[in-house]
Amino acid sequence: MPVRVGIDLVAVAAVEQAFAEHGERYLERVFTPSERARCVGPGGQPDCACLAACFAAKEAAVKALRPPRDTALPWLDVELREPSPAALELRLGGAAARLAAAGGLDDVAVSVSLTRAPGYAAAVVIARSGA
Amino acid sequence: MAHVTPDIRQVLADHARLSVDAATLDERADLYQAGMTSHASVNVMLAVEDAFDIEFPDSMLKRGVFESIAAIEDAVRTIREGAAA
Repeated sequence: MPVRVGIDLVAVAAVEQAFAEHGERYLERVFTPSERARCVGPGGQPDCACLAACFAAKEAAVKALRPPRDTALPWLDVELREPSPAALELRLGGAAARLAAAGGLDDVAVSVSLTRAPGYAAAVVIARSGA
Repeated sequence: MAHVTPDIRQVLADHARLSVDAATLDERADLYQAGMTSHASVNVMLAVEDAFDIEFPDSMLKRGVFESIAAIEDAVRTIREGAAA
C-alpha cells in the first residue's frame, strides 16, 4: 500500500504581503471561491492566517503527489474544505486528481496545525491507497 | 532576451526571498535551492506578470517554469511569442 507524506510551512506575514501587493488577483489565482469565502476576517478583509493554512495544505498535498517538474499543477486544483469545524478534507481536481490516480492514491487526508504565536501555518498531508 | 534578465533579477530580489544575491545569481541556478519557497514563487509569478504585462496560463504553472532565471526567461518569451502570433 503506497503511502506518501507532504509537509509545508507558510508565514502568515507572507500571505499578508502578497495580498497587500497583488490584491484580489493573488486570491483568485491561488484560492478557490470556497476557500476565499471561508477565510474572511473582520470587516470582510481576508483572514490571512486561514489563507496561510490553506496554502500550506495545498503545497503539502503537492509534495505528496510528487508532480514531475514539467507537469502543470495549478493551485486551484487542490482545495481545502472544512465540512465541519472539527474536520478538514482535500478535494483534488484536474491535474491533482490525475496525479493521485496515476500514483494509486485514492485517499488523501490532511492534518493542518496552525501555530499562531509566531505567525506560521503548517500542514501535513498523507496520501495513500485505500485498497 | 538579455534585456529581460535585469527585470527578472529585480523581481527575484523583491519577491523571491532568496538567501543569496539575485543580482549575481547564475541564471541556471536552482531558485528553490537558493531559498525560494513555494509561496514566494506565487509572488514571483505575479510580479513577473506585472513586469512584462503577461499572464501565465494554467499549463505553465509547473515547478520547472520558476526554478531558474533562465527558465523564467524562456517562459516569458514563450508567452510573448504566443501573444504575438
